[in-house]
Amino acid sequence: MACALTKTGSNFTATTGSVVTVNVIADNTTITGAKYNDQAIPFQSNSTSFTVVNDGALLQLALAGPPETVEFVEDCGGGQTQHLFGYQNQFQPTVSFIIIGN
Amino acid sequence: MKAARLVWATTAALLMASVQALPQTVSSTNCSTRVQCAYGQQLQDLLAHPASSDALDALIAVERVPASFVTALAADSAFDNVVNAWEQARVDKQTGVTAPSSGTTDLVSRPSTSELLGLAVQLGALTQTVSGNTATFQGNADGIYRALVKVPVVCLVCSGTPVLKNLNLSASFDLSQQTFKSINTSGPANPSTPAVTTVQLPESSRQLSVFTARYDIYNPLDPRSKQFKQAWATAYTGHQADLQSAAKDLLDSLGPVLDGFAKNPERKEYQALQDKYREVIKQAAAKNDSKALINAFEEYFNKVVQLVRAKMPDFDQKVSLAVVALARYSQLNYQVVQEARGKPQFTFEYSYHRPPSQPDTHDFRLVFGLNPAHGSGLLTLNAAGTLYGGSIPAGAGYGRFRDFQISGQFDRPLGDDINHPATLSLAGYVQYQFDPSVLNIGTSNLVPGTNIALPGNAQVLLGTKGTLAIVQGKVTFNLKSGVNIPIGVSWANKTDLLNATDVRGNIGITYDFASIGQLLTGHSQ
Repeated sequence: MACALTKTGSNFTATTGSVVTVNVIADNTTITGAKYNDQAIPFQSNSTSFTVVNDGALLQLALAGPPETVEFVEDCGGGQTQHLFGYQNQFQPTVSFIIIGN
Repeated sequence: MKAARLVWATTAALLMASVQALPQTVSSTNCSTRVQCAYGQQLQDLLAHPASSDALDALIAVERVPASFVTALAADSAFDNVVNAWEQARVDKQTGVTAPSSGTTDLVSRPSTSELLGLAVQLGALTQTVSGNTATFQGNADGIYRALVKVPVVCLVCSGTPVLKNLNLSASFDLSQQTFKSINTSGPANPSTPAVTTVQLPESSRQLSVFTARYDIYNPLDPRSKQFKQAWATAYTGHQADLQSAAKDLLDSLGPVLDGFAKNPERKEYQALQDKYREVIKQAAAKNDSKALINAFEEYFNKVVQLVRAKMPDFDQKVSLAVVALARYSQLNYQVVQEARGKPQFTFEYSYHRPPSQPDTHDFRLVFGLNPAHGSGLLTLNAAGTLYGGSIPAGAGYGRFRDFQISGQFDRPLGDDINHPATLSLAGYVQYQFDPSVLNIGTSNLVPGTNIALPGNAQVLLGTKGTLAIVQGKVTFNLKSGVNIPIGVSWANKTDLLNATDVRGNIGITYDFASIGQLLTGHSQ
């Protein structure tokens, strides 16, 4: 399956209406809150999904955990993933992505 | 005195070894501006991995790691106020001396100390017959280092300087102890004065009475270990509702600050700035030119902030709200990580005591801290042993090993966990002494009923050997700006010199300079 997000500069673009699933890969780090386009969206301990809106919108994730290596990927389905962002040996309380729907 | 010199030499060697091991790079412990401090990790990452798009995005896309963005913009007071309130609310900090010292309000040594400097003035005694009055200066080696290089002392998102962060030193001075020095005279000044060959002159009224070195021994933080994963899962479950509630507040307050970057027309101007500076920043990192990287990034950051401020008149107000939410969330996460990291935490403590009119002693203590109620109370247990210092005279009626002690204390905040106005402490202490206490007789003393002067090393045994038991109730009032006032009352079955029950009050005042660390460093982080 094709991934929905395409990286453009530091932002991501996607077709409006497409459903995106973002996974957090880490030993312990857990999602504690998620918002997209200023609305709370459902989340599980390590994933959240949303439908891309037209124009730019912010995806915000709140995270809890120790300083460690964390990777954010798009779950493209069929076992395929796409790397979005990551860091090593850090604790970041929150990360955000600008996603532009077109 | 040999022992004291050895202690100082060992400590100095440890400090030097640690300081020499500090990395000389761009980081949150080596920065000169707020922006540089807030983005220290990201700048360091890009210098280390100039080809990494993640490292570049963490700088260029300021919304990517919002904690750094709002911390770089935070007014000095907002973040600090929340962090300071939390620091002062902690019930696990030890500032003054503990029993068996004279001039103490504490039966038990707690597992933590001030992040920077602590000062305590205490009046009373617990195991000693004679009450004392001591002033204690206590410092954390890492906190002092961080203050000197002007970086945040209290750091919730970093792990501190290895070795130094766990090393605490303190010195206590007896404010009531008066010592005398024997001086030869030049003879009588008038004929009515009998021949006096020596007089006793006051030498000093402020003597070093206790030197203490503490080293905190934590279970190593290994997030990949099976043990930590299990502990994290348990700790997270216990605080899940609190974390999710704080996370909602955090995202709600950050949204208005960051939303502008996602919406046009600001987004196009923001992207234009990113395009302009991306290559400059990338090139500086590729050349490993940290100065050029910092300059380019600070210039870029300031232009981004100018852009968003121009479009959002109440931008700074929104940042202030976000910083408070960030501080609260970071504190909570830190607390959960500490819980998962593994308790009891162990502290090894060595103290060199110079009690008045008694032989010097060396105390070795293990301190254990337990949180039986998820942070709303602290149970501290101590196990300690005391050895006499110096040489034991041949045929002495006492041995090298003076006593061993076991003690425990429960501290319970009275009121809200963070903003409690007072802490209630209940403590118990048991000491077994192998021989009666030893009292030194000064050189000016005479054998009773005679004119025979006793030798300088004359000693007598006083009191009784055996068990000394003490219970104590104490309330510590938490005032603003790091000031705490402990007031306690204790009952003992005997004291070190007298074999009779003893009830007495103890009072002190302690000051935690970590709560005003921003005076030295500019801010917390």
